[in-house]
Amino acid sequence: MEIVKIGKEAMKKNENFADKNNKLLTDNDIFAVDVMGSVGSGKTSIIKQIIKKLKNKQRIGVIAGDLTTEIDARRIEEEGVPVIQIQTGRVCHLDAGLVQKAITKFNLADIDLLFIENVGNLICPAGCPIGAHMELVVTSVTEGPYMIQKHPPMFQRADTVAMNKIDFAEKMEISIENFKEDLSKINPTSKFVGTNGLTGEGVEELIECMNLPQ
Amino acid sequence: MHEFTAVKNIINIILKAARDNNAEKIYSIKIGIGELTMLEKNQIQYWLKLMLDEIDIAKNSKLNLHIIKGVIRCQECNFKGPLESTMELNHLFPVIKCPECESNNIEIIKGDRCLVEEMEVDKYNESISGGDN
Repeated sequence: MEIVKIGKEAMKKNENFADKNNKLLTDNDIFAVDVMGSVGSGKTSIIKQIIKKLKNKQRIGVIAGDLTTEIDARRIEEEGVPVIQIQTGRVCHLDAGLVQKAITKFNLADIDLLFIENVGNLICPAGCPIGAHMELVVTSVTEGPYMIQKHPPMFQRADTVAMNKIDFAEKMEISIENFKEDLSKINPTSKFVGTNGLTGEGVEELIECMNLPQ
Repeated sequence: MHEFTAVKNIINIILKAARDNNAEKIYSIKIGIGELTMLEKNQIQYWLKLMLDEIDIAKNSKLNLHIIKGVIRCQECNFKGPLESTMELNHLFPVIKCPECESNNIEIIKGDRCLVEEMEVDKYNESISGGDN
């Protein structure tokens, strides 16, 4: 019996794909945002609201990830921007390989800003970089008061956190200040914005916090 | 179930190493799982065992899985060392900030990777089974 040294990383291939995606996007002057968050937190609504505010200034594209259906793609298409739907089947998060295939379906010369809506899941996407330049986590007050404390890996990665459905905070007896405090403990540099994906409240502030090209 | 993807990759790495080293029997596999990855040790153990037992040369191999602690270098105060878990938040994940000055402007040196480290094998004799003259 002898020992064979290996020393190889299990997730290296995904990282290589993510690096390639990042380079391809950067080389084409595209700024990409990975939009993550639980099922039903309002990721699509927030993307739609951002598009409404920016579509006359920026050429926007969207990749919509879901297990199945093209519901999100259809909703975003209403805003008149190109959308590619990724159906993952049974996979609980987007990986860099899936995203690479979707990116190449766009005419990259026609896009300045790309939103990649991850599969609704506050856990798995945190372990799988896809090559975006920025990470936006959309969470909502209806998910309860402990979402940030309970899911540190996701919130540690976030550049910006949108706390959506803030109009329900009072009914849910939830303090927005407590969320801010929870976030500051695990990720002090992350931005925090309260939003309402239906009315667009807070979305301008969100765009400013994310420092999106305008 | 993101562990399944990692396990598939681990299996591919093991089988390639086995081929490259003329292994005919794998006895044990050593894998380090960084505490800053999103990989759960017990899940990896479970799926890896199930899959390895379907592969003749790896059947009944022993899995040695261990956790690689997170080590950081602080860009603000130059602290270099392990991360600390905080009981205040009462969770099992280490908080990614400098334990000395609390800055999160840090570089992760260790603990964000899942590494297939080594395996114990029997090699077949190349002169007997590898010759083609």
